[in-house]
Amino acid sequence: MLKITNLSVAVHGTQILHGLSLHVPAGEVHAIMGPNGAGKSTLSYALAGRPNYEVLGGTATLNGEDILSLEPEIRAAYGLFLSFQYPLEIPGVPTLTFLRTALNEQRKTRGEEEISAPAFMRMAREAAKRLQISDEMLKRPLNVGFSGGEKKRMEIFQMELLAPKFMILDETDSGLDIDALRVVSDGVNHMRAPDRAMLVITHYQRLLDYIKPDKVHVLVAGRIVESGGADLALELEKNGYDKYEVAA
Amino acid sequence: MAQINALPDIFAPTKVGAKARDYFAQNGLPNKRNEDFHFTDLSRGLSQETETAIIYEEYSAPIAEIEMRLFEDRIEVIGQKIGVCVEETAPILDRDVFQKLIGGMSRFSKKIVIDANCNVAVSIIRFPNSRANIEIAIGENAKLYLVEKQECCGGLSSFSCTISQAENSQVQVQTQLLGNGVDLSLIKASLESGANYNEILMASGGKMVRRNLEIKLQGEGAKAEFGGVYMLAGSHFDFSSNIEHLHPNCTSHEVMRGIVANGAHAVFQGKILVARDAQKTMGNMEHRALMLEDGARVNAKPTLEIYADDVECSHANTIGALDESALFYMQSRGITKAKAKALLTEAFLSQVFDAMDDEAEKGKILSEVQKHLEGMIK
Repeated sequence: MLKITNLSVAVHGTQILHGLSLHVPAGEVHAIMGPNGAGKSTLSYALAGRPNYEVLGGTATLNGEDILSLEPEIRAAYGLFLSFQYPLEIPGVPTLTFLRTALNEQRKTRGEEEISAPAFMRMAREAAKRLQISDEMLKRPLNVGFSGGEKKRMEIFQMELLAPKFMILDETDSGLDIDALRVVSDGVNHMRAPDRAMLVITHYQRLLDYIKPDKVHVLVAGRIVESGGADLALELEKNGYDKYEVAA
Repeated sequence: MAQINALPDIFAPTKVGAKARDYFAQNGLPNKRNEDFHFTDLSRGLSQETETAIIYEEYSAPIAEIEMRLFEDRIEVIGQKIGVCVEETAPILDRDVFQKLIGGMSRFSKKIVIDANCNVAVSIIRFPNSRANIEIAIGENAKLYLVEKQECCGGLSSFSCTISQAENSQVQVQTQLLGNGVDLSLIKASLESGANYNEILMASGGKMVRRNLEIKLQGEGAKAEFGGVYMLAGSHFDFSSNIEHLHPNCTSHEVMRGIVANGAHAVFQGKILVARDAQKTMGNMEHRALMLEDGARVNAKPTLEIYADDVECSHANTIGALDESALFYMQSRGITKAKAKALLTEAFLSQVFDAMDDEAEKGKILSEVQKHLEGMIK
């Protein structure tokens, strides 16, 4: 599914990732944990193609396709989805208009037919119900005036409608109360499938109680320094990242 | 005499034309040294060789009950209505420099008189090189829907429209300035008690385009609302407004949003004047511009001149670029950068029309805006 080999990335001239390698096979959920400034968000932005995130070396392939040279919208059409840590507000563009445009643009890129308005509305209603998103929220401009929790639910809602193959959740748990965390996690778990994979970036083990990872990786100073099973998250919760930071 | 020879041949063979020519021969055409024209040097714009205008041979059907077609060599009036009378008139030599100039340029004049309690729709179609002066007098409780449309053209055109509104009369104006030549135009409205003036404007700019809006609120509770958008690609557009609150309890609300690309130049000069007696005035003015590329230019000069002490007046002005983070966010969802820019720009402009009640009219304007943007954003 997603294979990252020896990836080095600089942001505004400062190198953040130093030869990071990672393989997430189809059907699996991997978690990345690490201290502040380790490069977790840099990894997600570099994969999504954010401007000013300069790839210095290495490769990243999604189902064998090299994605690093592609425009962000093409990566999305190939099935990559990033759930933002801080979702942006898009004034003046109603949520449903935004999403239907996105879905149809992706379909166009893939050479598929556009989705009809009624079919889209059916899909949207179903997903909205599951994520406790009101009709009123769907009519509002995307994320404008939404609370932190609402924005995160909206990210998962977008993820459901766009039905990507590979999902990156960048600190989706930050700013969520327990109830919202459960709703969001249920939404994420609903997306798990044998032909999909997920990278869950988080500071805390808490999220992993709800979204069970197959593997946990520790990211420190721009590299994966240790990988293990779900237990590794519990150990990190107990002992922190100190021993890795000394090593790095 | 040398100075007269230096003036471009823009004045009409009318009495006012001759007087205006004399005046400008002595004083020169408005230029950068004149504060009102600091950003738009008319003496330069009017002295340039104008491109040959494209003259339309076939015209579509009238779009209103009464249609005035302003041509280079005549004014045609199509349609009639009981309670509406079209008369001959002539421009006067105004003290204001800009009005003096377009008054002097006006070759033809007409006056529309609308009786009290009458409802009428009038369209004014401005064809290439037309230079006309239109006066409209509206009786009590009468209602006028006015469409002013400038057909695509080069050349040099001017348009002066003076509207006097009796008590409780209502005027709704829709203006489309989509020419690409040199164009000077003016709407000047005076409102008595309870009268209402509402205008929606859309402009593409041209070689040099100057538009003035002059409103005098001179009766109890008179209200003026203006919403405009400009979309400039390599063109020039100067919008200057002057809203005068001369009586207590009047309201004015002005919103202008615009985008500039490809070396375009936009100017917004907005002024609200509140006279000493005009207590309880509510006046606000907002201008926001988006620069889609480096190399485009926006000059904005909002002015409040307030002599009364119990008023609510405000102005807002911003000039910025599209939010790069928002663009990336949209791209990360699969939307191409061009489409993302178009969506954000359209959303930015369409907020001007948020308050419109008439959904059908709103839809029409938004689709015009959309059509125009398609050609602009790549």
